[in-house]
Amino acid sequence: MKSPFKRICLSLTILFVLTFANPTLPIHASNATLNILDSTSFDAPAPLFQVSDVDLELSEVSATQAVSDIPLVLGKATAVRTKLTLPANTRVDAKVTLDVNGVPYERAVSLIGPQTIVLLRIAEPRVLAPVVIKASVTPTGLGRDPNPANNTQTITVQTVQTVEKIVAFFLPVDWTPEEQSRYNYNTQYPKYVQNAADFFIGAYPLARDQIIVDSTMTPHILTPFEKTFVDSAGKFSYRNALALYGSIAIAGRRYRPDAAIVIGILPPEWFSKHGKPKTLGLTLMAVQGTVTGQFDPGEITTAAHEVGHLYALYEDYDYAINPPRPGVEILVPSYWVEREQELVSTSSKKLWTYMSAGSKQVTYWTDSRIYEYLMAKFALRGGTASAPLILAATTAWQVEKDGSPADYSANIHRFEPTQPVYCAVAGIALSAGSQLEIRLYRGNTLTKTDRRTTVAGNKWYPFLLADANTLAEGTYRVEILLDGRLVKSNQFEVKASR
Amino acid sequence: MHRHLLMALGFCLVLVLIATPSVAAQEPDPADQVKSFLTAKGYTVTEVDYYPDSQGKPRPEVVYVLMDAVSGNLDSTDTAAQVVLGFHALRKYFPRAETLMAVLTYKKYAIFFSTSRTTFDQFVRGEIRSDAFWYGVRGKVQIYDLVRKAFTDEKDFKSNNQTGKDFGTTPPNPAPTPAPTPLKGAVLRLEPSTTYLPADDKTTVTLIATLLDSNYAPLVGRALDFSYEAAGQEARLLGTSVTDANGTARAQVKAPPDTDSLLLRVSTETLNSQVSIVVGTPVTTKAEQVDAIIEGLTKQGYAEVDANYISRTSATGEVTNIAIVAMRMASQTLDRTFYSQLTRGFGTLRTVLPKSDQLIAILSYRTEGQDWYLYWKAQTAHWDQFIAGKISENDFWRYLEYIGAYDEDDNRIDDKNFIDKNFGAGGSGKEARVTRTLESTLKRETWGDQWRGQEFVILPGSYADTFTLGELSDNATAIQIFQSPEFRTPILEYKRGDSPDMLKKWRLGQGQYLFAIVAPTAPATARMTYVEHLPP
Repeated sequence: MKSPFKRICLSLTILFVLTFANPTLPIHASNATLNILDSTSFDAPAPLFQVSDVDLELSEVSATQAVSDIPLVLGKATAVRTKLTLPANTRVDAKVTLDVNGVPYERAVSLIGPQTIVLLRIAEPRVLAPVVIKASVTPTGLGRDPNPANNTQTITVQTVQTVEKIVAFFLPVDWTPEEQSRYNYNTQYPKYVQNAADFFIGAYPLARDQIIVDSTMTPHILTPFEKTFVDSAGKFSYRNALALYGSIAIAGRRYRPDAAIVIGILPPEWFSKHGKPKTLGLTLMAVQGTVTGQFDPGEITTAAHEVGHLYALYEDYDYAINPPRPGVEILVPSYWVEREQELVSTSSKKLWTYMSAGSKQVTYWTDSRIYEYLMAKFALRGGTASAPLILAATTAWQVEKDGSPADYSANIHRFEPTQPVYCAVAGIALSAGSQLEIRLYRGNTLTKTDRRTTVAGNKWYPFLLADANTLAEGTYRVEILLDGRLVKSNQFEVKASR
Repeated sequence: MHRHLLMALGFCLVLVLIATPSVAAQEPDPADQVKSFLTAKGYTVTEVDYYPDSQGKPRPEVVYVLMDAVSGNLDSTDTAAQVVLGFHALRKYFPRAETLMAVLTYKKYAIFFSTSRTTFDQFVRGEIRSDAFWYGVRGKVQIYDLVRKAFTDEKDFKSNNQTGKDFGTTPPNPAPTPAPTPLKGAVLRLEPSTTYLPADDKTTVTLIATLLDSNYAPLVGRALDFSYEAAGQEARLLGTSVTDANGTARAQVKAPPDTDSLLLRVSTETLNSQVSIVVGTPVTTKAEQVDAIIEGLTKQGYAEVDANYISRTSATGEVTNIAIVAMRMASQTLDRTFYSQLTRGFGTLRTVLPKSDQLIAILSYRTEGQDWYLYWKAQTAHWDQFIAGKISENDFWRYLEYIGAYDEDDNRIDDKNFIDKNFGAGGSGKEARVTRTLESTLKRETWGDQWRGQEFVILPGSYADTFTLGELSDNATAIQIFQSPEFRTPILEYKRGDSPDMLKKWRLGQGQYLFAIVAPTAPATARMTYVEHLPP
């Protein structure tokens, strides 16, 4: 008889994965304002002086739909981000022009040194072909640019066709008449749903017509049995929790039978009142197509977080270690295209991924790891791309039969030493016979390499980077090479829970 | 020649018994069935197997059961009852075996009793008188000295009894009282809350007795007498308790000092049931706790017992302590033996590992040449409520979580009906039948139309049929049944206008379900009854 215990460590995690506790963070409130840079309304300090001859430089150009330097999804709102540099303390009126596959765009801007970010909304790509973007900047005032050679850049961005379609239905759950009155339900609830939907649409790599959001104002009231989803010891009562989710799932689909996801929105403090404090939302891994979140006008990301679990994403918070890590900070500028807002993490207002823990002191968005994983998830089963691409290299402790990360396993930042480490590599539109190689480094030391020969088309290529109990604690980097060219890299840590 | 053969057989058997702890796997495994049968009678079964030939190969025509002797007196009725029940179990579950051997161990001796299939069948049919049968068996008894590794005759045996006090008048192990024939088919069950009781003067074992009528309906308000018996001591009464609405009554006892086992007993005037548990030293380290769990459950007759204890910290920082036991499944169906095994497994985990939050039992079984593993989970909070009598046993099982099945290579079996397909349900004709009612409504409330469904659970080994529509109001267009956790698509649907005969075909196996009305506008009501067939 083989020992069945070795499986326990894996399967037990599956059992408990339903918990999304989103603890309130011990972050002190700051008086900083929201650090969202909007180039069109940039309220900068008054320029010290304006010079006549200034060397403008177009130092960066990227196309973005949420995160830069990632292929564009057909049909999703798109912008081009340019970084313009000029001497400090100077101001120049200029014109930024774009040529996007032959379509011109232009914006007059006032540039302030040492750098100004200018974002231009462009038409979303509709054709499965590379997008060639030529960006230029020219001064429009009295002065001239002594070195126009650095005023232009051209980039090419590949496009991806995703095939997932999400009909998300927001269902108010357990809102009693008293609670409706207390929280100004008739006004606040629709606003909350709209904001949550906007965030969801903005942060997910899907075409605009691939996310449909619908809702009702009629609440669904739960039975006492459905509400008793925590037992007397504070642990999940799985049977009750399933009854709760079944009730929400069926009630929601009464209104919207084609709903792929029913999002039950509970009143404030609901989880706390029912035995699960510090929880903002919950996903039962076994239940596909139903999640719950708690109403909070200031925290609109819970639905996106919980839906992420339905696509196997793990948490980006980690309270199992000391010191706890409540979130994953996004260190590169990101852009909410639909709202034309640039999102930047600063010392006074951090920008975290939406898979992090919830806090009112933090702004949320998606990072490249989450975004490219979801793009792969949405595209590999039937989608295609304008060129052979490695869309994602996602860390996981378990993979499905198709090689994709298993439930509640995708995008793990920290592995227990007792967990195996996988890297699921998503290839789309690949040619047969290409060489896919992974290299695992600890520091600068190469610890493992592995190779696969690709097959034509789309496929997840799971690489077992390490068996359980074989990696020493430390930080690791995995690099993915396609035919010898570095196309992705990712980082993870091996460290035991406290 | 005959005597010589028996001695040779006995010698080989002793070596095999000592050297090979595992049971040869059968499909289904009759060894496990023999163990379960005899364990349920209160005996401690160590081994069941085919007897080996001189090459060590099993001989399918000779089968033995090895048990701890309940009496040192070979002529006592306790010994005779143990031997005859041993024969009976072997005859029942090894129908092709020609020679049946009951081997009783007591201290350094192994005592061999044997009979032939033909003779035993004649005895059962009444063609041979009981005393004649027993004299025949008794006359062929063989006694093997495990220390000297040699057979000894009964004279030496008795001499040793007098000088070494090996065979005093006090039984070495408590003797189960043979159960009288149940009156009018009533059933009296006894489950201990643990099979290993630490002698720490604070831990208790709860005796949970259930009295059912011949239709497995609870007998309410009946007095049950509880007692226990420590090895080498007189029986002690625990008092009388009256059965509750579930036919259940409970009693508790701590481990008395200086004993290594307890025989727990419940009785009425005509029925009794008993079970033996291990009493051991308090255990604190993980290794000790694992050993205690293994010892307790192995003494119940369960094979291939292993245990583990792990703590998991989730991303939220919540720590969950998980106690796990793995055993060879004692029954090939999800019957009372299955439930008893789970009960004893969970209870022993909970007692020996008191900090556990979750209890997991892994039951392995063998079919088509490979092992399969069934994972079951219970929350300690629900277990504690059951032991305390706050919820019934059936209610406890309705919270049991079937995690899933895995093959030998750790592959999860995706088929959600795997259990029903492989273990079936019903068909034996022995089952408790309960009619249950489901209701789903759509009501007009002040806040809008309120839909309400009804969750229900069919237990492992059970099934539901005889679905009958009681009410389907005018606004209702259909009724649906969803199987958890898939709530997007119903597994059964009955639309207005469909033939009622359709409902007769509905049959649900183990699982959690949700009954739902489909109606465009309120008010609407649907009511339905079904019959749940519970394992006896």
